[in-house]
Amino acid sequence: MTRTRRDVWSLSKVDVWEETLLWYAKAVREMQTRPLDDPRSWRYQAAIHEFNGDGSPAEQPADKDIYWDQCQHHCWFFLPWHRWYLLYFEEVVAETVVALGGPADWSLPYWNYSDTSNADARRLAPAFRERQLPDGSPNPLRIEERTSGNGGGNVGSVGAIDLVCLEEPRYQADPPGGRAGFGGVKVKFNNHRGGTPGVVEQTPHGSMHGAVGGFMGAFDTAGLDPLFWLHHCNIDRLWEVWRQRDARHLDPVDPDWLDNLSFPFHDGTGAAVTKTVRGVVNTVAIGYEYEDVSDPLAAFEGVAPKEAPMAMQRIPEMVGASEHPVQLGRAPATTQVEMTAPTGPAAPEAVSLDMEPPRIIVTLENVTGDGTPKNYSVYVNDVYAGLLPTFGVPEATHNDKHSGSGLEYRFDVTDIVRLTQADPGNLRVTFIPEEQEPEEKPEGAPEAVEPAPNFQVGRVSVYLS
Amino acid sequence: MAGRPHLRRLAWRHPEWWTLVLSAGAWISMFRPHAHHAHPLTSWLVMTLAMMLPMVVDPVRTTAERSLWRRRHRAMALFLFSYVGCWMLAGLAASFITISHPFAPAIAFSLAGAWQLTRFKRLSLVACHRTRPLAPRGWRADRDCLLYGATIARSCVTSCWALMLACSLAGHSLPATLFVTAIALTERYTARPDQRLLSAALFGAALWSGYGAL
Repeated sequence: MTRTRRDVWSLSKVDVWEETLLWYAKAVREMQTRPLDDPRSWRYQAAIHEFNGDGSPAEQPADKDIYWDQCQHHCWFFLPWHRWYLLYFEEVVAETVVALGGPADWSLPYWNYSDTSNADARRLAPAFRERQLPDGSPNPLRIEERTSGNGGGNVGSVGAIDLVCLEEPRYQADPPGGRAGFGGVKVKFNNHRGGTPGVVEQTPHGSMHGAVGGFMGAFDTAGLDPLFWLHHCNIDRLWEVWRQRDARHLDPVDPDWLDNLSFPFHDGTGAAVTKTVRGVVNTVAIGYEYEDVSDPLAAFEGVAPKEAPMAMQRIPEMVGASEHPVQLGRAPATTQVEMTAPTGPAAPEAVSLDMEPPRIIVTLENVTGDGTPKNYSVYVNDVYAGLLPTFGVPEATHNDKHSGSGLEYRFDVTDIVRLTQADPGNLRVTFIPEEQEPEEKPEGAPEAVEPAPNFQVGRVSVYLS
Repeated sequence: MAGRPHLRRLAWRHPEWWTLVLSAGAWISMFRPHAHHAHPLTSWLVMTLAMMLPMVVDPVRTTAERSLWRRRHRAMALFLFSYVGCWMLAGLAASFITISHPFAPAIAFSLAGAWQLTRFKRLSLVACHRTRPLAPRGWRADRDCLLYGATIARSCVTSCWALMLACSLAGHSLPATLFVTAIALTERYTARPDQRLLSAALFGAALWSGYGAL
């Protein structure tokens, strides 16, 4: 049987409590009653991503070191690991639905917040906002911890749902100073987690985690919000969209990605399984497909041509960097990068005819800090270059599985620099915090006071790549 | 290299190549006859260059990649000067440990086996992958390269002090040095190193060394 995953908004237009959503709510409620050490319990499933210290040691399973705290972020395993994770979560929910008397073909919906044909796309589907199920019982799909969305307003900005990631030509990141790749940077060994998210992990993945906030804002609580699974289902779908929109968009064939690292899970029956990436690259082979994987950028093809055929890969050369770190808070912050003429691979005499002209990549290095994740719009010479989501930054700063160096983000600003005909000796990089749309609150509800963000960009550097 | 574009690209992509040449030279000098008659600090330096430089090729390359092109080799040299300097301070401290008891190497290998399982060891091994911002030019750039070398050295010394001490107390013998290098490379460069297995190997080395001392 091949399951079809559908857009939560197309289901919601049929009925607020369309069958898929109602059974999801009932299954979540059932899973929440299971003990922490049951692999089919709600809290166990969230702990696979990262454990939040919930429950006494006696309640925790003996094999937690194997199955918990596994989430793969900021590296090329982000997409395939989360695909396995979603698949087995979907199996657990589907088995629970059947046990409760529901249909056998339940499948996980996705939240397509970037759907330009749907005016409601950025709002939470009503089933995630309603306080009660149709029978009057509390709705487990609504959780109060979210910082936005429950009031019915738009979640995140237009920048947070941007799909520029689909134009990324390669899955794997270039060497430092080059493009971040669709899927992220290669990590061969697992002593530390990678530090460079791929563009899809950056936006819309990280940006929408931060925009919803609350449980969704941290690795160790994200899976406790029922919305998390729909968000990741959409990220998984975007991987399929990226692959299908251009024949040159290919997954890595490197055995280090496909075969050399395996990940342990429990399937829908609770049986232990161990999986490699090779088993997950074809969704139909593992039992599901998406309702819609059409190219959302097709209408803009005339404006943004697809990448030229791959030329010989360039070796990036750093040509400038900021002298001091940049503090990110509630106010805009700006830094200047003084550039020097290239003398290495990007120097005119080193560029051969079989190479494309060098791209200009702005790299934000050692982004560290803590607190509630916030999205920052990044402007280069006053032109919007992309979004800096700080989701994952606290974990990359303090988590004992990470070296503490923070994260690295890369933006291709070639067109901006050319369009603005900027002074070639200087680039101005500005960070502006995104403000959430104010939401309607019940009368008398206290105003939430958001703590001041405390993030830092260690260095802004410019590479020719 | 101008006439050999592939070699030039390789050197551009791996500017840290000469770090491995330095290490290879140190290994060759350890194979020399009478190498173990050298001054203890000289032996420690050679051992550090041979065993530890392969562990830091990633941060050395990062130092180059984060530097202006004309500064790359200077930046790597400053990183290594600082890194090796910190290890020499550790060697100086180790030189005061002059235990000539025949069971000293066995005890040191046991200590290394136990250290392998501690949280400190795990955290410092992870911290060996740290990066830091480097100023692009001037004395600040030089200072940052020195600080980066010292930062990585601090994690490396915390992670590997027991292994290096065991080598030192084993008289910098070639089998001990090769064995410890294999342990260090395994934990640094394999996916999910099994520290219990590596610890067991070190306890095995302790038993072997103790048996030899009987």
